[in-house]
Amino acid sequence: MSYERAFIFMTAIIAGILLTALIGGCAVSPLANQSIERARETYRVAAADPQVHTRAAVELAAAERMLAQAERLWREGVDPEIVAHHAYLAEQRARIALKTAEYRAAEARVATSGEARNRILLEARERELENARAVAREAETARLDAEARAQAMGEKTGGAELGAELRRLQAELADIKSRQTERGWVLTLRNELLFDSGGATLKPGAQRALDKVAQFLERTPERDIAIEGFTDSTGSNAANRRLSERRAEAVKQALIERGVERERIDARGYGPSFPVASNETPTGRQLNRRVEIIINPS
Amino acid sequence: MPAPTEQLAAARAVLTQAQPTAANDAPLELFGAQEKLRRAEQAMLSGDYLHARIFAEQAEVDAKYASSVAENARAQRAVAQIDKSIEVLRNEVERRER
Repeated sequence: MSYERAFIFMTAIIAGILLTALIGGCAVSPLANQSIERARETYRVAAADPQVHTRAAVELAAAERMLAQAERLWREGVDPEIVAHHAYLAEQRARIALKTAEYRAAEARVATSGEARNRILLEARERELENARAVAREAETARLDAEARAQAMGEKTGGAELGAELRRLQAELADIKSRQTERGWVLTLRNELLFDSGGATLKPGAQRALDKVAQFLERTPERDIAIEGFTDSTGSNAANRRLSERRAEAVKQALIERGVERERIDARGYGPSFPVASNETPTGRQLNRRVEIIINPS
Repeated sequence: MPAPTEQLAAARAVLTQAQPTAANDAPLELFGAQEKLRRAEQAMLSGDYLHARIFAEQAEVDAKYASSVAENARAQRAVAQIDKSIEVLRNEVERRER
């Protein structure tokens, strides 16, 4: 037996002795009206508790009945011992109602603990979602900022309209790529589209693309144009440089034939210089073989 | 006055029912009820039916009260345990969020 248990047991024995002394003989309670008072007071406490009404209504009703009976017996002048006995029963019923309401409230909390648990998890999920939304909002803000910067840059180097025109052109010609740089808008045409391998004569298939480019350049008459030819690093530097010059010149001539003013166009060949991709792979070399048309900022 | 046989039987039944839980969680209340039942049985033996009945009825209501005290102790322990586990869960969730 633990110390605590022993203590409780001893207290119980002492209480038992006191109780025995109290209820010994024939008097259960000293005075009937005192017992009635105590019963009324305990009942009043129980009846004032809303939890008792909702959770221990039956027990409270029993207490009320017992109290009424005790009061009736008291009024009828029945033996004080009998009155005190019934008052005691009423008082105990009221105490039972209070305890019952208390433990049922506790049981209800235990029964709904799953809900409390779910609420915590739900709240955590909502916070998680809100965080994700905040991240998405930040990303959207960053995207809008980037767009605004691109637009500002477009306005500096050639205006938003030019950018829109180039995007249209690019949409029409899958082989032309446009991008915006510090030098202005750059149109990149792959050599495969324009020339046969090793040659500087424009292929028939190049005509449509150059028509489109010329049409576009005619709409921006105030801008100078630089045409730059590039090769991959296969073969000698000097031969590549000459080939790229001839190709840039061929594009220049084709644009002049299409009505673009000669004075606006500057054509150069750079051979394998300024690669845009690695020359170690076929795809990289293909990207490096190109003609770039640079539309200078006005 | 007739012998309160029913009242004594009822008191014994309720006491037997209260015993398992109240022995641990309401020993004081249970002891009081047992004491009154003993008194009731004594009174019955001596032919004092009035006091046999009074003590039997009080023993019964005291045993019921002892039961409710024990039920409450048990329920409060369960609530404390639930509160603790919810606290653990809350801490766990907060720790994950940091």
